[in-house]
Amino acid sequence: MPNATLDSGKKPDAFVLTPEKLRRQRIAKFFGEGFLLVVASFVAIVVLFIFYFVAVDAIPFFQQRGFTEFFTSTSWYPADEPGEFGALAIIYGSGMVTIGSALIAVPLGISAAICLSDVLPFSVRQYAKPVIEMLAAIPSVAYGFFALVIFAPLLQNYGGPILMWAWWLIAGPFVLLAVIVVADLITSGDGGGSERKTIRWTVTGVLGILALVFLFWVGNALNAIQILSGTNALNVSLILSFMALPTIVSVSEDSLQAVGRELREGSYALGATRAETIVKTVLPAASSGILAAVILGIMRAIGETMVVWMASGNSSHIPDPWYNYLDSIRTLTATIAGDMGEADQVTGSARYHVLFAMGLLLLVFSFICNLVSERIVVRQRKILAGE
Amino acid sequence: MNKSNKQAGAGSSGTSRRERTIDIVNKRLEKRYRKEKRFRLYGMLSIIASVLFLAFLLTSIVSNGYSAFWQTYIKLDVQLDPDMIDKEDPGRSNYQGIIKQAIGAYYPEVKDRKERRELYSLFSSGAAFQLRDEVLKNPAVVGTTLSLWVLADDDVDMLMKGHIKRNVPENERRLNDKQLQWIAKLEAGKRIEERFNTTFFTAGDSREPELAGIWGAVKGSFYTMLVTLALSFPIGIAAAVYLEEFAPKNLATDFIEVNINNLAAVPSIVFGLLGLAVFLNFFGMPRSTPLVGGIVLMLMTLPTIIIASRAALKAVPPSIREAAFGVGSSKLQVVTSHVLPLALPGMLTGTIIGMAQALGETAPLLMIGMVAFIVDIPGGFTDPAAVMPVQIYLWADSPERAFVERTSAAIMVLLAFLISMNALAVVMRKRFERRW
Repeated sequence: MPNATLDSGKKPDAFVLTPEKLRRQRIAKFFGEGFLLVVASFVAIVVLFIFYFVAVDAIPFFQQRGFTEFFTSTSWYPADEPGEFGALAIIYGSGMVTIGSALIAVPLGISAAICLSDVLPFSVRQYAKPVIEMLAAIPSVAYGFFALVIFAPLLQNYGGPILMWAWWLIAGPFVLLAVIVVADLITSGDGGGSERKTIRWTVTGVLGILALVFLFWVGNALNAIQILSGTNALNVSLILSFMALPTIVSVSEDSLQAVGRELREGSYALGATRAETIVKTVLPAASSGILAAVILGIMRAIGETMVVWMASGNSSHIPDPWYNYLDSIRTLTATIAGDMGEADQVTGSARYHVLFAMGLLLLVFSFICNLVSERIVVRQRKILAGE
Repeated sequence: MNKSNKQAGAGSSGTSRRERTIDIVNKRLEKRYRKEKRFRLYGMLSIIASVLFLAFLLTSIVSNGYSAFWQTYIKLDVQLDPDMIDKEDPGRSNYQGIIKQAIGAYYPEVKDRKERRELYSLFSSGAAFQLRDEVLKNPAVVGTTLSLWVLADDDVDMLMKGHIKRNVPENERRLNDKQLQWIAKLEAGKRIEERFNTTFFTAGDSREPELAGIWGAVKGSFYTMLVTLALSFPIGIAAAVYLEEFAPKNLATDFIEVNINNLAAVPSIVFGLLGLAVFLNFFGMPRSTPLVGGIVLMLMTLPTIIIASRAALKAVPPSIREAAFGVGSSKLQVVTSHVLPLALPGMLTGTIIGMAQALGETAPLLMIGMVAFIVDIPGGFTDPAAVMPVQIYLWADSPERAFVERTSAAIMVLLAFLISMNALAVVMRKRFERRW
């Protein structure tokens, strides 16, 4: 009876591996694995494919015009006959917005990552993290619209006051901290009980007033600035920094989490406060991962197209003076996006190929960045694993 | 240490050494706690800054855009004179003329040619199409007087919504004083009102803001996403399965892995260059179509799907595989009937997130000509189409105030899609997350 239930509806050899079955399995395995290998290598081939096709269209430009003009001249008149293809100002513009956005996004992103990973209780973290991740879900064209239609007029009309408030908010706490530290340093040398306290207070007071004067002076100077056009490097840098923020936060947070409990608990056991543990133990251990996060964030900023195309002003010149973030600029990505519409009509001309040369430049740069950051992450993982 | 010793020595000379150490520690402790508090404050400030930025961005977009969901309509009494309707082909009659007659009948005092033109400009050019549709739908209305709510021009719409101020000098306004009087007459006769803007959800692109809608772009996005999904889901999952389950540890596998990360790092605009150089100029595929757009976006979403799928496969514990091997399954059987079903929710989550990225992408699509001005609603994969983000980009460039409103509204629609996709991914991850 049990035999009958077991075999009902099945062939008698259902559970026996006959040689024929084994052969069939081997064939299936061969073809299945072969198919999967082909598909997986497709992804790798695509990368080479991209490189090849961009390079094939970029090389004719360098053959026709050489390297010197492209990298050293700032006159960009591709539509003229004969055109001028100096991309220095455009490369400079790309560098400028990238550095500008990194200056804002890196401190903000790292402190947010530390806060998420080590400071906030789980209940708050649960809500704070999705909010920052939401910054990544917003499409770039929405950021571009915001920069162009809302932020640029704001900057143009109230540029001075906005800069002043930003100065107070950013520099204020730092200057306060500096005053306290410097006053401590100056008064730490002498002995003496109650006098020492009064000396300390007076030094702090004097320094504080000096610092306030300095803050006011710079603040007023910023307040007086008239921003001629809201579509400038500052606008783009700010928006790009918020676009790069989620990348920096999530990668640095992963790296902070990877440090593990042992190091933290060891530090606490020695009596360190949380701030000391983080600054002196966790951050050094996670530093390479954070560096990788910064590189990835910068890549996000340099490869972004829509925001810079819509809100950077698109004038290809090096700002005067060179650090003037209130001037409009033009970047590599924006040039490709903007000029291709017309250049595509004259496929094969230098005007068409120069855009591929720019694409190749972007591609090479992002590959280098990616490989460097990957190397860093792998090394950190090895070190933390105790190798 | 030196400094604290001195200080303590000067302060209290009679106490024992043990208490002094405690004093020192306590004094420093206070400072350290202060530092700790400051430190926490900086972290909090940075998070608050990003939350505030997000809030500012969303509120400014919503406050700019919510009014686009309403549209001003004007009631016109249209006299459908049978003589003016083409007997053979009613669709080809001069409806523009009929509408103009109806407007003239309501404003008999306006005689001057120039003034009449200004009067007509208060009404949308879409009014004639509305009337035609009405007549074609119900031919019996010919010969009667039809009371029809027609679209108002975008300037009138902006005035009704308060974006054009009535009290500024006449030359700074897009509507002159006479036009304001005519509108006042409509308001007095209760012939002007705001209704839900169905045009916005059913029409394609248009040069006239009041006739422009997102349906064409939504359909374009839909077809593009379909192509992307159909290509990237199988390829991504097959690649992930190979790399996690079958790949031997050798140089070729390393090469594939490095290149997946490299693909994720390629700037999006370069994908556009690739699409242009290869798919359009080399293979000669049709320009501005969802087919090419979908292929280009597929390349962009692949790394996301592969990385997420690999994580999902990694999360399946080895005991499952060993148990399956133990009862005599082949490698392929283990993967297809045990590992894959368990990893599928994670893979789907990754796919949804990848799709959301692709849905919001603009730059590469600009390169393959999806920026063209396309009025028709696409009907297939090879029809020229716009996608949502590109539509937003096109409208953001338009000078009319009414387009600002519509751009914001389109961003709201797109964001609603993206956020619900991401939320779905989060819910799925929570729901199917298994602890082994």
